[in-house]
Amino acid sequence: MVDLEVEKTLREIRERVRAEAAAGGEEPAQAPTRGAELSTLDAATGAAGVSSALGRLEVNVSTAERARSRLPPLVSNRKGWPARLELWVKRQIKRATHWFTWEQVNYNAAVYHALRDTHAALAALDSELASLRRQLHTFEEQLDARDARLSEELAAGVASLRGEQRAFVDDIHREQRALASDLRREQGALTDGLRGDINGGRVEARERAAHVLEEQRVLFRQLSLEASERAVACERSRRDLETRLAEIKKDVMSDK
Amino acid sequence: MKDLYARAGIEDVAEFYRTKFVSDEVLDARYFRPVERFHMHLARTMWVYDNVRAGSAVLDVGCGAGTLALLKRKGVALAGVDLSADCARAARANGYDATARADLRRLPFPDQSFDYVASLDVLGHVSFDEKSAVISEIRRVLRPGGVTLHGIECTDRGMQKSYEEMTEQELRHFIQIDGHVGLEEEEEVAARFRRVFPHVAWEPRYALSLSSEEFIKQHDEYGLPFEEDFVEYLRGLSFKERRAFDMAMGYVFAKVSDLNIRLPRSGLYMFLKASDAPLGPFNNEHRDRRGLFSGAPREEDAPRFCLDRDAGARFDDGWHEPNVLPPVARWMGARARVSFSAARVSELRLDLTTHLPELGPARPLGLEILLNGARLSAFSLFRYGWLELAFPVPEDVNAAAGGRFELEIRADRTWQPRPGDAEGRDDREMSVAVCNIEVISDE
Repeated sequence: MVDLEVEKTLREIRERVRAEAAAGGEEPAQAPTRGAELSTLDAATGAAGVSSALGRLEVNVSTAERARSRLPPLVSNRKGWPARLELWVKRQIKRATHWFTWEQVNYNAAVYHALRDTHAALAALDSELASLRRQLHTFEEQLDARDARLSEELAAGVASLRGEQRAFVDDIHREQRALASDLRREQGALTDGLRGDINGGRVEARERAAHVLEEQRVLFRQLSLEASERAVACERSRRDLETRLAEIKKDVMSDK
Repeated sequence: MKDLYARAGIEDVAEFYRTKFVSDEVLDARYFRPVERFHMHLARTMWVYDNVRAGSAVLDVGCGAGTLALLKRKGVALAGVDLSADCARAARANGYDATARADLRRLPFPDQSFDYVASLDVLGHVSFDEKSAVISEIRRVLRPGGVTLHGIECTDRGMQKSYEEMTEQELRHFIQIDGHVGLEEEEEVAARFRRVFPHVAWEPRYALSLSSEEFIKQHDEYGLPFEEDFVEYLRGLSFKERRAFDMAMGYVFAKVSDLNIRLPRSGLYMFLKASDAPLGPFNNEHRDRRGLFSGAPREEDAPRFCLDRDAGARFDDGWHEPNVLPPVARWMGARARVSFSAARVSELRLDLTTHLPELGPARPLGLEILLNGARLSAFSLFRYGWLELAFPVPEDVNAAAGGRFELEIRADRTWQPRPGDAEGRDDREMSVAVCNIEVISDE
């Protein structure tokens, strides 16, 4: 019975070692060489790998829990008292080396506890990672939805702007036509007004010319009268001068 | 001090003086009425008139529109210079024999050209740094023994701030009033002349008499402390009342000279005479006013003559002073008369116009022409422009006249051309302007 147990235990250990060796040999070849590539790993594949690794870790932890305080059983191939003697000697040796094996047992216990805690932490991390993945997925879905909505709105805005542009251009053309029509009408009115003004100006100019002519006539008459007055004054001065000259001449003659 | 005009914002000095001192007023001596010699407006001119010799050569420095045109009544050869070409032209039109636009420091005349160099209200407008050059130039053009006569605006530093003491705003306001950039006290002015002329005499004026306009201006603009109620009283006078006031003031002004009364300093005005020879009497040195009354007598038997400039014609107070419309014409109120003597009048001619507002067939101006009370014509004027009129005179009017005639014009409505003119306060009523009143006595 004991042998069967030992044999089973050894087989498990052997299989585990082989599996670890196989995993350790393959890992470097499969491991991504760059961080960027890590981020591109398929999330599902990554999650499955982590889950199987955690499952294997859990199996190994349960094995370690079961076998942590177990030492090889005391067996003898002899029979009879030699067998008893041999077992007695081995028991004594076992007792005598207890101080040494006890440390191995303690080490095993510590490894077991470390592995269990590691397993729990990794499981929590895995769970959190799964949650984050779900959130990320949700967020991506939201982003996609928003992106789709914005694209729709943008397309609607562009269509609306195109419509408004067409309406604006139509308005401009309509206003241009109205303005051109108004300008033509105003130009006509202005032309008519100018014609009227020109005619009025002609009348006014004629009136002013008549007024200036009247003023000129009065001025010429004034000048004429002033000239007559000056002529009279000159004539008088000339006569006075001649009289005085005659008197001087007379005086000179009388002096002589 | 040179840029006082610029600091006062006056860029074009000639234009400033043109707008200040050129008007449509007629200063031509031929239109002078003898009674005007008492008007305060002519009081300073009369002082010069009574101090220049008849028939002499006179230069008016800064002649404006013809301030001394009346001197032509004394038979002087009258020349004028002014900073403004428009002023020079106006003076020429007012009877000056020759005028020119000139800088007073460079008169356009040869040395020793004039017996008299005169100016009225000019040296107060000459900046301090130019005054001495102007006086030296006056000396240059004066003949030996010639006299320079000036009426000069002054200041009283006790009453008025000097230019340096004024703020920019005060300075601007002060110069903008009349353009005074060179006011000095009387003694300072006399001292300037003494540096150039060995004989200088001066007397203050304006201590007793000022025109109503000057009283108000000195009070309002220059801040002189005249009695408030007196200034308000002057402000309320009508045009005719102010004229009466100015005549009285002018009469007093003239009497100060006639009686040789030495007035106290006024800080406002002074008369100054200077010469290189000893001076005669300060006032009335060559008083001879016969020219004011006689003018050029017409021939007794002249077949036609014009009353506008006739020395024997008497225009009553219904007429206003002659204006340049053009031509030169007299505006009248509702009724105006002119009296004259003539052996016989066969026809009267005249030119007449109006600026009466709202004139038209619906509201014509009714006019009536009378000679010695006899109606020659009555008609309605309903259009603007000059109207040439000729009225034959009935023989019975001549028979009853005895050589004395009185032409009367009546208008049925008048208007006030400048009712809102606060500065001029001209409330005169006007109806028509008349000129070229020709008397024809052809048989």
